[in-house]
Amino acid sequence: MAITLNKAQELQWVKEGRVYHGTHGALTTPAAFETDLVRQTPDFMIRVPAGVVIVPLRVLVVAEATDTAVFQALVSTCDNDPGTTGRTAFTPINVNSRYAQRTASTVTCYVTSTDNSGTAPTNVADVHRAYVQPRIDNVGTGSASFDQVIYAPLHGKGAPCVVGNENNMNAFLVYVGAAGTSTGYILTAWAEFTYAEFYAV
Amino acid sequence: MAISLNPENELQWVKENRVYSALHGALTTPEAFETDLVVTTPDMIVRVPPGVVIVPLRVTIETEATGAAVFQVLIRSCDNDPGTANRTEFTPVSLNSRYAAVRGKCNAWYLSSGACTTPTNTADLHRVYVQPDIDAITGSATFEQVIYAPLQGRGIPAVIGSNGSYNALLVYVGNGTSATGYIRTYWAEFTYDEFYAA
Repeated sequence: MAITLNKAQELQWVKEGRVYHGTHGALTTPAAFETDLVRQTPDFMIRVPAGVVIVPLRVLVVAEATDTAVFQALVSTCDNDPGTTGRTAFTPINVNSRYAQRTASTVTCYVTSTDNSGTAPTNVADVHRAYVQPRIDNVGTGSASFDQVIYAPLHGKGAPCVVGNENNMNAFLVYVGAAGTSTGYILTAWAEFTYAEFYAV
Repeated sequence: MAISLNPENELQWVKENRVYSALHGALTTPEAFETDLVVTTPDMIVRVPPGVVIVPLRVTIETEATGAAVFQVLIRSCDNDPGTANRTEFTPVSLNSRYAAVRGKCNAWYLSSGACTTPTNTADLHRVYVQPDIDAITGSATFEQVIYAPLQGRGIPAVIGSNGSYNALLVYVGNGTSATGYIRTYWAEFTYDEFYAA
């Protein structure tokens, strides 16, 4: 039976143990961001194996220290495997606590790019972008940005996408480009389906 | 059978390979914006051929360098073909990675090095007017800039396409001097017949 792809289903997918999250930066230890947007150095990557389809639900990027202007973020997809060279694996965790310990995600996540020797993403689709001109941690006392980069495609923030193929690895990529020495946190969440159930008629 | 035009079907349309994207400015190379809003020099055009109907889903614009105040954006539709003269083609990409290499039904064009055919019977769908020089602002950080998301209440929803002629979606940016940035446009595609089926 075909899956209902209505945004009202988000919580239902959580109930079904389909929604996982990955983070870059933990508690009070922010991750170092890349200094620029480079296709082969994503800050966070979800590799979607053949036979699996994901629907990205959220990406949040929160800056802590920003060394200088400018701050950029880009969220995109590709239809090939960017590889894992120079990256650290992160084990996704289910956002339904019932399944948090015993249900493994079918995708793999990677954080931190120590080099750009990976495979260049192909047929990329950019689904969200942010460009912030001033140095964020130095905007003074006149304003406070509680919400920073928010990709919530089923709620109008960024464009919705579907990532996955029957025969080969596809990927979902989050890039941050912050000049100088910048740190912060990336939170992501997505729903997982098998290819067969996702495209069932 | 008629297509359900419920806004909650956006993701279903992605699944069905109906949703495509077009970019103006790539990765870290922004494109130059026009210096003013001029009817015949849109920064981006999505040309909808006869027999095709599109529903615009998002247009987002981020400024990089803004040479001076003022910054303006206008998004509109028209019921004729603005043409392709003086423009560069962008091949739209599907937002379903399964179909990322599959071409859509529409063509996108960007950069105006000269005038296009004057759009007729235009409908203005979204507008932004920002007074200060954006890249000179240091007292606040704006993470979201121009967002047209008509099915979520930001801008006016539209249907663009006809059975007998080209129609178009037009995106204009006007910024005083030497302004650059990025435009991303997303839409869902239908055939005229399936869209208007009873």
